[in-house]
Amino acid sequence: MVEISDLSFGYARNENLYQQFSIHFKSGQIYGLLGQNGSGKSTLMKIIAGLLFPDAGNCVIDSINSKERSYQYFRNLYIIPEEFDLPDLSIHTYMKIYAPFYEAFSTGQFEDYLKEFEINPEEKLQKLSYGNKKKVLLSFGLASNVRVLLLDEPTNGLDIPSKKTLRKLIASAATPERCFIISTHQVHDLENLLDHLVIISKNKLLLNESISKIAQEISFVPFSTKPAENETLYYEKSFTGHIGIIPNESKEEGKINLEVLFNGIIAQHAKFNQLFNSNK
Amino acid sequence: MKSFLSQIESFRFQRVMSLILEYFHRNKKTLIISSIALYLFLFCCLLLFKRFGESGKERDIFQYLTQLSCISLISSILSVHYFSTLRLKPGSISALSLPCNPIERLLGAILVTSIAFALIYFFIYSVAFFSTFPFFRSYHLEFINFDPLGIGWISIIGPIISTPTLFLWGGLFFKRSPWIKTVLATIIYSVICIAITATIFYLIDPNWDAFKELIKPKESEYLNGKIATLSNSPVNFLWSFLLMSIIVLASYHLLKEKEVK
Repeated sequence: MVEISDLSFGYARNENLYQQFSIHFKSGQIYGLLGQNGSGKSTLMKIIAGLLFPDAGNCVIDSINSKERSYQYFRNLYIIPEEFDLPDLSIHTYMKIYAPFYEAFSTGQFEDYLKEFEINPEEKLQKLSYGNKKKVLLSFGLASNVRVLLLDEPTNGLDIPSKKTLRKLIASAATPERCFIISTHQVHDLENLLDHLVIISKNKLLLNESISKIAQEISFVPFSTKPAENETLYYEKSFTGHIGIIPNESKEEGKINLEVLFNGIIAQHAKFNQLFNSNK
Repeated sequence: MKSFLSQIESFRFQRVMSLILEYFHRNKKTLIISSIALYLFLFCCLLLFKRFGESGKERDIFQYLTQLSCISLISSILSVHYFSTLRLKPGSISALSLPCNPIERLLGAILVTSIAFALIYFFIYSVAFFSTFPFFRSYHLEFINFDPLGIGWISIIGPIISTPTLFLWGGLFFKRSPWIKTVLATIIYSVICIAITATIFYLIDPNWDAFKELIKPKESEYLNGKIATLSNSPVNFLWSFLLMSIIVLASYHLLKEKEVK
């Protein structure tokens, strides 16, 4: 669905954030895009959204190159950025103006999503708080029924009940034709929602595996005392002692602790890489 | 080229209209306030013209210049800020990811800044014109060039079309202070054109007096006539058309290549 091949990109000359970077996002999946600050998550989202052009390589959605900046490319794509600017309009007017650009937009769905977020459609956008504005954008993005939905830090600014609502709405809106790419630092907010995990560091694809595969390959074990170095792939301190990641010998899918996994991948990338590749 | 053709294929006028509607909704307040200010300005100007103006050539020229500078100034400001959302990061993300292609975007901009602007300006002018009537004893058509019912408006169609095109380009090309930079770029371009003309003149006839005559046309009826013929010639029309086409293509290219950095 979204095919990025041999991507090279840099904001400054001779300083490439991405060099020969390739990744494929399939339809019917909810991707979690994780990485440290400055790792290039938002840049990758903007490249997919056609807002930045690769210096070399291609970003293609359904055989249409982002460089063409064509209607066909954008009609199936919606991005909810971390920073946004909304006009001084009522939510209802906003919908009336922007909905015609999206062929599959559903007014009914939009109103339902706003109701779920407890937002009044007659309210003025400029009078809403950052979190509420984001809820409007999230509702609009989901109701647009585009095939590729890009969400950059969607849970930032949302209160706890709204985060739960968002998880519920994304899960209900996911279809085999759609692809959600969610970039976040708040990994806990998206637990049990993601189908696929992508962890990137500057120019490196540290992990690109399905949640199911990850759960089959590794398990998270609590340790009351500090484990030995060769006992785990990675461990870190927890409230109750230590928590470690070990190879999952039984291959039975267990619960994934995304935060520990992320830290583990960043710290011990080679070990995890070896484990996942050896079992392919 | 392939991308350009595919954009023409997928072109829909309905999306252009949606973009225009989006522009008017987004800038509703600014446009209403500007319209009221323009009405008041024109109303005051018309009162002054009627009250103190002596009928004659001087007054007509004064009217023409006031009208022309008013239209050029407002049109240039409107055009240079048309794509202002693209200059700011948050605004440009939503604007550039909107499903439409650069041709539709540019056409929408040209329609708003030339045709819609001209119609709105004409409407405001007409309202201002007719609202001066209660201040005078009788209706008297002394506004040869700019009677709303007259044909004098044809004389300013050129600037109405060319100014937005140039300033739309300026708004896309210059990130900071686009208006003043576009004006400067136009001045530089004009100076270059004059320099080229002077060089050609000098090469043909190394006599500077002829060129001096050219920049002081009033002193020579012969040259005045030549300039008038040249400015009304098909060559001049073609050159203006070519220049406008180049500016439109440059604006299209800037829109297509615009990134959010």
